[in-house]
Amino acid sequence: MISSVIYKKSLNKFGEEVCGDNFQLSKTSDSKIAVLSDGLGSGIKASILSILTTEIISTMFKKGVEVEEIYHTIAKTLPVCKIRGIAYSTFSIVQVFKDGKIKIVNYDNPTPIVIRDGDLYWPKYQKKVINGKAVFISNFYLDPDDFVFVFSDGIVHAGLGNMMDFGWGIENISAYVKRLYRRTRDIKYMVDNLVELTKSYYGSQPGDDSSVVGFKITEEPTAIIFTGPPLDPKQDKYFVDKFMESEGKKIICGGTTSNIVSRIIDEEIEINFNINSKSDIPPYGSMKGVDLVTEGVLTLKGLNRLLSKCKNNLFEIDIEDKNLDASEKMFITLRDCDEITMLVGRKVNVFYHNPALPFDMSIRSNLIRDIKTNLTRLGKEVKVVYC
Amino acid sequence: MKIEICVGTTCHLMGSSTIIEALEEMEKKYRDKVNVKYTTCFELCHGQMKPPIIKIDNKFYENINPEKIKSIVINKIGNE
Repeated sequence: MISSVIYKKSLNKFGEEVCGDNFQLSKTSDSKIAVLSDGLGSGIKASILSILTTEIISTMFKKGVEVEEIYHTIAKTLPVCKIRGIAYSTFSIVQVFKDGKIKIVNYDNPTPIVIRDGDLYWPKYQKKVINGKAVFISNFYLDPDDFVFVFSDGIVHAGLGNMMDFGWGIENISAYVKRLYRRTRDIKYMVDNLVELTKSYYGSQPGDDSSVVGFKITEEPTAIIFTGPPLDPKQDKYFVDKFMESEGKKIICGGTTSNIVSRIIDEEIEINFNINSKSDIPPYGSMKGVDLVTEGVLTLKGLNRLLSKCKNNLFEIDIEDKNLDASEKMFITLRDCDEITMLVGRKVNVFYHNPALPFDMSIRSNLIRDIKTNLTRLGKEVKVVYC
Repeated sequence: MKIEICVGTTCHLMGSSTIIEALEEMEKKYRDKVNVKYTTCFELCHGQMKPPIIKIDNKFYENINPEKIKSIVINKIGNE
């Protein structure tokens, strides 16, 4: 199964309060649909045009309406600009299916950049002329670790007449993205970097709204978190087997739980020995067949604290890749996942009820409830299974 | 000498991270002879032993603090 991690960043035209580019992400049962639209002009007018465009496209695309029809609808429904006498907004649609198929529809936005195996990949586009305007459509298959970047023209025109004769240009951008890929595979870093560079090409005064949407294709969009020992020790083996058989990333949260898994699958736990960590969260480790092994309640508490800081998506907080603590490591792992299953043991650790402990150790179930609420709010599908 | 320090919830809360700092502060002649490792819960804190718990060469020690670990190491290595 294939999914994508999507991150978008925009710059407003210099002096404008709102962005004339709009981005919308929607999901169907078998795909994710991302629409980036750039409205004519800038400011509120452009913003309204682009919001209408993304809204119409997302809704119609989700219902399976053909591109021609969508385009006709947009042309007919958008308000007409009084000065120029045209209703105009450009758009790019990227639909990523769970089987790895991708559909790109591009109307007047710069050609999207696809990176495959560290090289640029230019898919074949089929040209369709609708109402005298050319729309480019491409269908192809993606592999895990491929990247797709979609732009509004503000990015491509950066530096125009200022630092460069013809602006940054798609060739230069694609060469730059290729170099970025060699440095990092972090989609947030790549997009932030592109936008930051655009800003400097404009001399910090962008001449147009500029947006970049980055897609990182991932192979395992699911994760399972096993936390707490099962209520009945006789069922330990059953649940460990269930955990080990599940697809996607595997995380164990809790000392006793990791000991149970370690005993049953007969693998040793290796805890990372990082004495430079200044975090108040216990260190994490790994085990063969398991991606991450952490301590229980304190780490989950830390994770919930990070999740609570995010308003709309998990990219809102900056996390340095170096010196991650257990909660941050888990946060980054979950960021790439669409579906998260939590296997929660109900056995009570008597020691946590000790009033001598230095601070409130809220019981696991409350924490799980809060984490579930936060993850759901941030667009993840969460399933909690008690054992 | 192999020292295993528990980094489970209770041991961590009761200060197991200070133990590693204490070991790092020790003189080089002692530091060179100890092999430190983190481990998950020894499952002895449920009323049997008082955290932080550490394991030195297969023997458990309870209620460890920086002073205690230093004296244990000095005693053990001194005897060797």
